[in-house]
Amino acid sequence: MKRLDTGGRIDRSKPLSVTFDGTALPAYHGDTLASAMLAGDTMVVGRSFKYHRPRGVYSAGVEEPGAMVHLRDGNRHEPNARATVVEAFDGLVSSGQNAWPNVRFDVGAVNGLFSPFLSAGFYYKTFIGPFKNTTKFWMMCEAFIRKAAGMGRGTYLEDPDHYEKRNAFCDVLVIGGGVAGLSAALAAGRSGAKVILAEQDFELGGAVLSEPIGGEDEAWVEAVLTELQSMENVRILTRTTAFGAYDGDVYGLVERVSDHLKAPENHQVRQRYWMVHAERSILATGAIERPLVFGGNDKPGVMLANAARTYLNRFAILPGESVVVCTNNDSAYETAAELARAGATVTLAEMRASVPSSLTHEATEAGVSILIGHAVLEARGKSRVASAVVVPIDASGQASGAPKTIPADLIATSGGWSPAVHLWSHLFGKPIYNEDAACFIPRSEENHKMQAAGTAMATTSLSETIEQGFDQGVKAAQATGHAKECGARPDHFMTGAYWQRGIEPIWAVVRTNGKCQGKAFVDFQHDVKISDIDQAHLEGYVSVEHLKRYTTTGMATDQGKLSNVNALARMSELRGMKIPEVGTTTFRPPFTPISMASLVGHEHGKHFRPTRLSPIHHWHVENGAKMTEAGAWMRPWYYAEAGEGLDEAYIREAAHVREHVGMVDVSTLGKIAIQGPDAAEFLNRMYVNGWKTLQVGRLRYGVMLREDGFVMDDGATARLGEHDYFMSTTTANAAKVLAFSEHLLQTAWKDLKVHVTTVTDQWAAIAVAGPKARDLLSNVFKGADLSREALPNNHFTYAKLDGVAVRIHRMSYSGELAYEVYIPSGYARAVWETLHEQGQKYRIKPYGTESMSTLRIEKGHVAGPELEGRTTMKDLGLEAFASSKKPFVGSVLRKRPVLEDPERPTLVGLEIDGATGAKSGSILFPKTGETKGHGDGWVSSTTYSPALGKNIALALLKNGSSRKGETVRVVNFIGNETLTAKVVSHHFFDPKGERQNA
Amino acid sequence: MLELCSPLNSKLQAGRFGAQGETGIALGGRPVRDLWQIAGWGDFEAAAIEVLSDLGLCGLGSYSLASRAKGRTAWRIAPDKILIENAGNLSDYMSANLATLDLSHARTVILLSGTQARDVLSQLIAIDVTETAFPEGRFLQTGIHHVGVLIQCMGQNAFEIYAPVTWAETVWEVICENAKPFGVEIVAD
Repeated sequence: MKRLDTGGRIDRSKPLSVTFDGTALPAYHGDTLASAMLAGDTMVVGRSFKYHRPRGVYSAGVEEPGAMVHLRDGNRHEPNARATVVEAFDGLVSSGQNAWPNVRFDVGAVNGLFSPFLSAGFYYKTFIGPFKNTTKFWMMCEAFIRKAAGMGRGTYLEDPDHYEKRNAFCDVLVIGGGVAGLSAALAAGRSGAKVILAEQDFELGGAVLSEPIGGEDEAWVEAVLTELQSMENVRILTRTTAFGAYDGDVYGLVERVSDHLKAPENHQVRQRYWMVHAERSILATGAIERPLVFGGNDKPGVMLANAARTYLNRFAILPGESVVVCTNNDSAYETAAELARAGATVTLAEMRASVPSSLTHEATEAGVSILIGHAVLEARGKSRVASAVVVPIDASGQASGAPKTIPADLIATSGGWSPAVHLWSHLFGKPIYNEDAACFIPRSEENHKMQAAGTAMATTSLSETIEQGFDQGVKAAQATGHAKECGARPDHFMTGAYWQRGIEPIWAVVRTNGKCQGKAFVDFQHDVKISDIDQAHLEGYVSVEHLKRYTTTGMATDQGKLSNVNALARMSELRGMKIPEVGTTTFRPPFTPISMASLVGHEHGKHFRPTRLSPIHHWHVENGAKMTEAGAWMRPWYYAEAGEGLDEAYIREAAHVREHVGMVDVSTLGKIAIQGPDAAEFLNRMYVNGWKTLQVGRLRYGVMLREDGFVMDDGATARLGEHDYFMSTTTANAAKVLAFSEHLLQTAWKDLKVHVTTVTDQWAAIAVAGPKARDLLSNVFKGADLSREALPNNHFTYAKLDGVAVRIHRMSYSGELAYEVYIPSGYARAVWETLHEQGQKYRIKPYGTESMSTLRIEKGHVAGPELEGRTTMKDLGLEAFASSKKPFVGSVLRKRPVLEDPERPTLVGLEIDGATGAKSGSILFPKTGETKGHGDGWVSSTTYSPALGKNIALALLKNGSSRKGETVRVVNFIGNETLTAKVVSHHFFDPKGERQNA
Repeated sequence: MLELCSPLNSKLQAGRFGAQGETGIALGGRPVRDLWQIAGWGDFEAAAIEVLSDLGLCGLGSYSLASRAKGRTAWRIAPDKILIENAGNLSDYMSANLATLDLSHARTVILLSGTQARDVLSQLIAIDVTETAFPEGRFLQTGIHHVGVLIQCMGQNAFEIYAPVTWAETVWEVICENAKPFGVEIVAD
């Protein structure tokens, strides 16, 4: 293997530093990692999935099954990179994977000795059987098996790079930048249609890139490209793979923006995920050459014929000096001739019984020895090919004479070509089999918005490829309303033969006994041998879908690219059927592997989901609040003073509120404007209680149910005007209540003249609670009469502070004398700061959600942990709110027998014995007996109560109301802790409400 | 008067970040002024036209074209809802046929402009924002990072993004992340 002095599309003036397993590779700008490996005569670059067989570079494209490597190191480490599509760059570090100590000497290769036991269905048979404990046995073995088998290792380090998503809209998406794609883009572009041309390679040209340089093909590409680049309506994306085609004319593309660099530069992204919305698309993805199946066909040194040609012509590498080319079609002749002209000794084993001299002439002239009616039976050599065993064969591929051994360091094979129909299949299912071309092609239907062109449609000549590409471009443009003249088709140029003429569908080469000589692989990626297909057949597998899953052929990154037809051919042969009768599997996205990061884009870490901030958020942060997540919101959890942890802080805060006054940011409460002449009727239907009598200036607590009768939410609603109400909901359920309301108004209650609009952003809210609350607020909001007489509970009033109008609701969540001040959100921080500053003489302290929870538990108010979707009004002691005079959402289904069961767990209080508090979720059991099963109930909310000086909890307990005074056990199975507690009323503190009514 | 605090106060600090070289994106902010929603029912259009004509605005506009005059802008955001900026106080129009609602504090405006502004938008929303599809004067209602926003096209490369105030920082940060490759300048008030 050597780098040629001339030729190729590499830039010899730009050498690159590239290493594999620490060894420097001779690489130039324009190389791939695989071509650099070949140039460095690095033959063993990977180990196979199951048997750890040495594998080399097999292809020159996305279909590569063997040259899978680790790329880069540190936090940019990437496993399973296909060396054939990794662009070489300065500083590229790569290493072998799935091998120990290295790919050249791998201890795991011992698996090969056990191959008779590791055949198809090994795992099913060994670990899923009619035996006891096979699941446990599997779980025990799994870690070892997964370690031994498989692919590369990922990194746990955080990816330092950025990835972005972008939407694009076009009339015509052309997938593939080869001759067909360029022709299609040219036609569509000339018509004025908006075109996106996507090519996965870093250069346009497709198959032309594998041709010798300086030919007329190159000039052809350059001319078309120049014209395309001059069109503003054409966007050309290279290094961009269209990986999926989806409903709604949407295509997923990944552009590898910076993968060809050591690291993204100047804040650019590593990869960009394009979501392309295209009215029409043209599949110009070309075709992938098929392997032949023979013994040792996976050894390093066996390669697809066109790959050998690509390495020769594109990368200026002579991939072998003694070459055996084996083919069942015409397309490999050019490879043979060019290798011979480059200095190799070439023998061509022609599998067909006869071929025309017009085909063999050029190769013979170049010095190729042609053996008609011969094939490679076996590749021999230890870790790389040393010789090829060639035999005469009959029309089925069976040996018909004596084998002979030919020294060889490269065996280049061609079993025909498979059009890359994957994206078409994503949209339309199974392709059809073309007998003449011996391959699957897309069904051509006029109404399909994706049409294939070129060798993706198995065209048989270059002129047909250009014609089809161009014509599909014209059609797509016309279909999108661009009737402008598209001009003349580009002329064609001379190329070698395509594969279809006279192809002989011989897929495997076998001995006279019908068996391959040695291990012969159908799927290199998953180590599926032809004998595995035979075994699956013997075991009764007849469906291709079952065959695929049983043998794992066509899985992983291969996705049928190389293995599909050969596996189907073998199966059809065994079943005595034709390939179309056996059928094929359906291809699914992605066409080639894509990084998770490209799908994630910027939506990770802090931006995994949006965050919602109160208008007072920054004050909390600046003043030392420890913040906590509450749904999408960030809320102050507690404000730690010197040396305090959570427990000390929340207990102090709660006690402070009861003794002095505290302020808490409740801007997160859901706030909904309910407006319209039927607003009261709407509320009457939404809430369980009545609303028609509520006067302007008053507010009322309400409970709402889901349609199935369970409690959905609670909150207070104020009547601001005749047709104007202001509903508050819990923080957690705000969106749900709004959506449910809107849903009902637009479907079931279209007769109601009501609008619901979120005003959560419009209004911030501050709850001021404690014995000094009235004094403080009266002092701040001069002129507002907040006296007990003027503003009793469930009333509100307006006030002003420095010209800013606010609304003060008298209501209490803490059980203390309390008010909620509603402020236009832009002024919220100023009002908060004013209250905080002027409240100093009343010893005001801010408090967080933890102490807010303590205060409400002491008071026995339910909240999220109790309104969790499984509780009814009756369970929570809220039934008295329900009106019997009107229907409301849930009024019928709440009467279901199961919800009326007197044994249902109901809300109780628990006084925990001892100094340790209960954990939420702990299960309740009677004082004696077994602690098994679901118990008698569960703890929903728990706290230390500074007001009571003990640990308390809210709980749901079976027959709870009749068990007051009983001692129960509180079992925390996760923490392995059992406490005892006394069942009491959930109104722990000030049950008569004297404090809040003060 | 108390100090009005922008939800983007911590973000609106003049500076430049992201890619070096040309500045493709300028970001700024401004508060909305007297933003009111009017909403109605069957006879909404008649009721709305009365309000709009009082404000000097002609016609109801369409669901993508705002009605603009005298420094006021009206967006038809739903068949029975119109948002109006610079509307003054519309509370007197509240009746059995029309609901008026002050949302002046509910939104803030993120100003996005620069030669790459449309590129940034295309990274944020799955709607065609090329100049032909989204020209000056048009608006659209969509979501940025799951947050509902209204985007008004103010010129070839200038947009105003009306975002809910409590989500404004998260929307701003996501815009910034997407804009970094183009070079970003933050324009303070």
